[in-house]
Amino acid sequence: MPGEMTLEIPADAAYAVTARLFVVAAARDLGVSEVIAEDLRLAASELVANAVEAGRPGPIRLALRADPGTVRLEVSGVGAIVDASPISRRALLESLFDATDLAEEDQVRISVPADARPQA
Amino acid sequence: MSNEDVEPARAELTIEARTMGDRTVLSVRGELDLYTAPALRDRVLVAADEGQRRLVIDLSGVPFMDSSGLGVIVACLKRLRESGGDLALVTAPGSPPSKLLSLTGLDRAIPTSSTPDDALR
Repeated sequence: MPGEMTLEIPADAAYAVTARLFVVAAARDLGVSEVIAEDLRLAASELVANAVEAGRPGPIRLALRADPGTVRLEVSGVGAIVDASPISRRALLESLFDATDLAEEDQVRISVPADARPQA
Repeated sequence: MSNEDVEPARAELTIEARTMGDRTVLSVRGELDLYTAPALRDRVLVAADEGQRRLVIDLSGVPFMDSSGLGVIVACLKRLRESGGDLALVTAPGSPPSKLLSLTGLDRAIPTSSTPDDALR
């Protein structure tokens, strides 16, 4: 379906690179700028790492959805955000994005601006 | 992209060590994340055990790093300082590792420069 892309992966650190590749490619296709796509790549990596460190059983589901002017990254199966030492993962994610919803137990939603004309 | 049986992409990290003056420079190539960062930690611990306590970690060949990579770097810094050593970093200006170090303020805690030669001064 145009405007939405999903990926499901095991909660396994070896798949963090897969999640990153997917998120960057999907974000570009949906009209997200390179700089913001790079931030989403970091978020994807952090969330896969978080699922592994939180001992989540998997799978991790990543979805990118395009709405006019906005792209939303939703990642479920991540567990509660672990404040990995020495970096607060929560603070890191909140500093990267204006619209971050880390409140839910097992799902994170991040909204970023995108061009009005998604390419997907 | 299909949801079925996704194979992991290959995540490889290579670390080359060379001696410059009284320092050991570890040049890292590859992405640093939860999966690959332990290899860097292990390599630094080997160097520390061999008595190389003044290390430079060159991240200019690292196109991506997350907080797992940062965690390993900070753990290495602590380990080296405990044994009277120190750690400096090399990052390409504007690269993802450089941005993450700046975003987290760790570039103020760890000497960071843009070339190995500068790191040795």
